[in-house]
Amino acid sequence: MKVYIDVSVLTLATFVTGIQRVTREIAIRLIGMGDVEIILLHYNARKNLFYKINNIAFIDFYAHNQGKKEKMITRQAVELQEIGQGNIFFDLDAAWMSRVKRSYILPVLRQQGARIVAHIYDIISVTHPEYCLQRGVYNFMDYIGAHLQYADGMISNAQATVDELCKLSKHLQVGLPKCHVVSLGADYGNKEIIADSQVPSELVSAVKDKPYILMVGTIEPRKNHKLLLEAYEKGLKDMGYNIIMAGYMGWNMEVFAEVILKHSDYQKRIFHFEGLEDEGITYLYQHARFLAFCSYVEGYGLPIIESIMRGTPVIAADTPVYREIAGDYCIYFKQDNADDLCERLSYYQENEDMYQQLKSWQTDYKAYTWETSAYKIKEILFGYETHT
Amino acid sequence: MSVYEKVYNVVADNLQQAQIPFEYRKSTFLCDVEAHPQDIDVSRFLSLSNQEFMEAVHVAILKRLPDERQTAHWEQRYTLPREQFQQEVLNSIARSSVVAINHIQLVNNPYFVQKEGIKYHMLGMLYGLTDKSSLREFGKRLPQSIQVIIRKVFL
Repeated sequence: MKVYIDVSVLTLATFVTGIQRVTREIAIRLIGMGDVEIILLHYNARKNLFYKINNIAFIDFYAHNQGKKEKMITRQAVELQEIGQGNIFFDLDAAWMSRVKRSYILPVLRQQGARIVAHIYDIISVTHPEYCLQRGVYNFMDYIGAHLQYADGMISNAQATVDELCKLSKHLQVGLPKCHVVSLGADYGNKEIIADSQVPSELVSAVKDKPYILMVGTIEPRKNHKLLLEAYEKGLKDMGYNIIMAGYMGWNMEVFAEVILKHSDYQKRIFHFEGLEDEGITYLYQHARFLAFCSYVEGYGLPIIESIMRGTPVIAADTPVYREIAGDYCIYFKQDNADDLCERLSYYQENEDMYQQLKSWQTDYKAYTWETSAYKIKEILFGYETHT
Repeated sequence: MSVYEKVYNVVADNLQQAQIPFEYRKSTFLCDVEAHPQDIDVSRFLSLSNQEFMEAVHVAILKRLPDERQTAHWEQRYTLPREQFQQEVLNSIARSSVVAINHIQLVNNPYFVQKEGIKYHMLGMLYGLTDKSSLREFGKRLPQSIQVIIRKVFL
């Protein structure tokens, strides 16, 4: 069985986060399994051709940080016509950002007898387009429309996303291909303690002052950072909490950025850090009282897992997807309700023994490893091969 | 109704409920789906109104909506006869670096034969730059305003 994976968006990405990170982790492991021939593809828009990526160079670069990214792409062109009967085209990357539309290539692949499987991370662009950049929404409409018509199977990371897909397909009156749920990996097994000397001094002074509530991730409307700020004004401040936000200031956040910058507690009790290395993020998790996850909608919520595995309790908005991935290992507040957020935190403020119990309970949490995720994906792909 | 049109309607409805205007018209999207990455079939756009045509052609070829300056320029020409307007828009876009770099061909174009002169080929050679990760990383460190210009030229 040959599995073709277009990783063009990953290979052009400067920063490997989000979907590109998942693509990298899964692709590395699928190649490493050896019992399935993985053909990674890079799309050249000028030549309108896919080029094969050298798998060894790919692993060297992405797993071992060796070699140059551009050296991975070979001169071996892969014509669309090659991907036919007995082959699987697995859309793992954020391919809607590619110049080659799925509405163009999927019918061709389907006609040639290739099986098509898509990794659908979420359909937020369709269900909640107000939280997304419209250019991305536009591209995603083509992507999801094509996969709903031509995919043989879909893989999502949460049943909540599959439920959304079911609702959408019913609404559109199109059949939904078989959907599978595979949790994402989270390898934070090594509990390395980051020392003060390993991080910037402003981070050290921010964490040492008072207990703090942490938010991690790009600051964008969907993540609802303003709720934490509201909770700060409504009670967290009086409870003695600082707030720390780590992540780039994303699109459409100019007003929020100004509110933060002009806040009288900015850089005294409210902190914002951009561009932190992994050590810096780990350091912030290490010292945080709670990670707050206030998003209106998410496909998964990897920071929740990340935080639990690092021993930092999580308070998250009560949504089906967070319940599904974190279950009882996380405490929940009513979505978009700053009073409830304050109330929950106040309870743990007044009941230190319960807080410690929560921390100790988290040590039992067993997250998927990337190996398990990749193995399950491979099994699913094998299933499609045997149905050819 | 095609699946694509139905998906568009769902997104448009959701945006409307959130009281956010959808910048992309349905005609833009429907002219763009299933399109060949390089061969842009002009005949798909010819029946559109001048404004729709201008927007749809920009998105299909440049992969973005026209910016404010371009919109203001074309707005003044919406009253032109359809054929004249379409020819002017296509002429303008055919000269863009995006067309040269990505080797885009305007096929079934009733107005003119696309020229591929020295400038076209020279610009085309710049494609390699879009693939160089080290250059991209350097670009990411440039001021935002310069990044915007680079994106317009190469992406």
